[in-house]
Amino acid sequence: MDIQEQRQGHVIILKPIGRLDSLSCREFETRLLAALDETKTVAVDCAGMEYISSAGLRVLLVAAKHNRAGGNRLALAALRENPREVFEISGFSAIFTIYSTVAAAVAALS
Amino acid sequence: MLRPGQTLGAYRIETILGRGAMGVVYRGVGIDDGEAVAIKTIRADLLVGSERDAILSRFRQEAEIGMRLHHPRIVRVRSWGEQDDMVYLAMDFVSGQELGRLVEQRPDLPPAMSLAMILQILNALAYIHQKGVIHRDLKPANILVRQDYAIALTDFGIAHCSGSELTQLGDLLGSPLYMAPEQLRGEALDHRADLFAVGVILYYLLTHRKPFIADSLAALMQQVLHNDPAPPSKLNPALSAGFDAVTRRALAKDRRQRFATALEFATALRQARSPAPVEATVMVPAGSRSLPAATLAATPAAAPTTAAAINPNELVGAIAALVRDCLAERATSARLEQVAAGLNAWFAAADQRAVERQHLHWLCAGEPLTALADRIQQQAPIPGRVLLEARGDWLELVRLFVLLHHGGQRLGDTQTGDRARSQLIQELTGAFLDYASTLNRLLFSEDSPHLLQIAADFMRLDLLLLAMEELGAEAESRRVQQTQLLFVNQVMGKVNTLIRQFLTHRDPLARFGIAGLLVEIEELIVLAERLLEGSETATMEASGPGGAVVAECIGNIHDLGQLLGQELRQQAQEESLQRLGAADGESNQALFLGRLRQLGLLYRFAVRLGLEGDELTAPLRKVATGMHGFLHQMADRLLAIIDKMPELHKQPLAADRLWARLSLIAEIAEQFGWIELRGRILWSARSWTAA
Repeated sequence: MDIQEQRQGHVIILKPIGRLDSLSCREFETRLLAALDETKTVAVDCAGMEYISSAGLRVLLVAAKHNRAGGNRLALAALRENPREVFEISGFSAIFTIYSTVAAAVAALS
Repeated sequence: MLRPGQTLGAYRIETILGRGAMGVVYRGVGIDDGEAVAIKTIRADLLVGSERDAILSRFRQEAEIGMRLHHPRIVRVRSWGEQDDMVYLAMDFVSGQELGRLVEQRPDLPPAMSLAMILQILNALAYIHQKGVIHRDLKPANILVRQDYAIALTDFGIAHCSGSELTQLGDLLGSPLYMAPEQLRGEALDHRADLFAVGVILYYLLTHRKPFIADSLAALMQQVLHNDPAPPSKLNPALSAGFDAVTRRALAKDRRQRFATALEFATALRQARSPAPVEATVMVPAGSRSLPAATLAATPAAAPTTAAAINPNELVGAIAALVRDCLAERATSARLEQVAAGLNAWFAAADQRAVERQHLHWLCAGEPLTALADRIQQQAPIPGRVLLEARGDWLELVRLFVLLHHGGQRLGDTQTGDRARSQLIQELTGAFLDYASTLNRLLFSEDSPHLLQIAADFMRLDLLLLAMEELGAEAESRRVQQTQLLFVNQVMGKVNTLIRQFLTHRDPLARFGIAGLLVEIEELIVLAERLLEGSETATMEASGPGGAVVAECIGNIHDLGQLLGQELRQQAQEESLQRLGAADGESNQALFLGRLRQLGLLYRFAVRLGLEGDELTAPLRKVATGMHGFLHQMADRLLAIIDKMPELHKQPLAADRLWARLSLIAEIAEQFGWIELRGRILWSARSWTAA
């Protein structure tokens, strides 16, 4: 999996491309937590995320806990069909606001 | 496994940094000096026969050499020792990441930064070479990069001191990609072998490509011995031709043509690098927690204070409006921060009017609070519940409830809030208790368990647990974690059933089912591990009452491993050399490698489970002995074919396939620290390549 990173103002946008599964989740976790530590406002652009496994969901859960401790904010954007279904059955749609576009997510964080 | 707070030698354990196949790496502190340390441990009781001696001497070597070296670019080894069945090595804790990972994560790493790191490596090497030490295992995994890009050299496990005895095996324990040709030829080594390894690393950093790439050990060795890699400037046009000359000299096959010393290498590199000074590039490495002051100043203040800026007597109205917006639209972090700030400002104000107090009381202990509690209950992601129009703010609603409840307490009214909170917690706890029967149904009602559904449900339970923590329900959270242990037992019970069924009702067709079975088992074990990760107490308890199920599981894995081993042996026996080298032999080869890989996977599961509890040593040792014996036998068998068949050189396809099998065995052996077995295969690969 490739993880692209860019900045808009003080928002870091991470874009994981490929499958977020047990093989790739560690790297994603490191990058996500580092980004949250750095700016406190992170948007994850999910447009390139083909699949998310429970290991990948777990990374988001860790980030959600991290949010609580550090007053950080995390927004997800542009979720594809398959990950969206996973979000729904795993209850993650209850705790993460999913924006239709990255711009909307960045606007909500700014 | 050690728990936080336990002591190991002169150190107190704090957390687990990582789990390996042989043991655990902990972070700890020196009891005397409070300094942070990383402690590598090895469960010596799990090492088999000669492997035990090999690994212990490696540990000793690393400790003794490491303790003699004092250099800012070398990780200091503090001490080593044995406690119970564990051997440990304590070194300074370095916060950073391995060079290899850094390069993978930052493909945009500027050459100037790479060069600065290589120069530091050469600096450290100049020091150890002057002390008469050769590292012999330099590779990106043994170089740690701190957040400020300072490097630290580590792992002197196979380093060599002038004057010490050199075993035949010792000079072949490194990684073949980084080994100098003379190392592969089995000649006596000097410090220039390390300089060759730095050449390989330099090449990799500059081009993001390894200079030698091959499918098997023998082919890789062949490349290192005879092939010259493409000049770096061909792969990365941004590089000047000066680097081509430096890498060519660093990677010279004949060590007399290499740089004579690390310092000479460093000087050549400085001359080749572009005029732009390294200091001009300012980068924040991945994982960095420090930021330039200018960036911090540009970050807006975290907590908006609009509500707090309002006249105290208008505060309650503003808070009420915010709560209304949270319920009607969405509870955002920004709104919650404003509610919190508003409440704090109101309670801090000197002149609180009675009417405002009444209004706030209604908000914090009246209908809005109960409406909020209802909303939280209705939208809780309880397993099995369909979440309609989820707004993604469920946890924020829980946080808002906590804020208002706390406000009610400050006003002296705890009755309504406490009752609503108890009901909420009861509902959440109930979801856990109810789930045991659902899990049983999902696991056992049909032939194949609904793994995806179970994984999703466990996630939902995690979210509920998160909410319970927000609500401060500590006792209930602990109770719920105990319930999760029951789930672990249920899942492991299913693994046991699957393996037992497979072993009992096996028919000739079942061999095709083994791959599917292994996939299911893997998923189930991942689920169980996840539950065990939940908390320290969960892990401890699991090794208690749950131990019987885990022990049975390890036993089952042993039996399944034996079976897989038999199949591999049978395939190897039936296969003639001719068939092995046949053009259409690819599927047989894939079958063999696939099964071997699965065998490695099963063993890794067993170790992962077995490391949790000391009482699991006996079953785990049985698995380790069986696996080690099998791999030894298989390696012997394959090596015997190679030894006895001089004509094999004329059958390149058969030779390649044999070496691919041996390379995989070496890889598995390396994972589990069986360095003697791995060394034997490398030794043979070297002889084969030389012939």
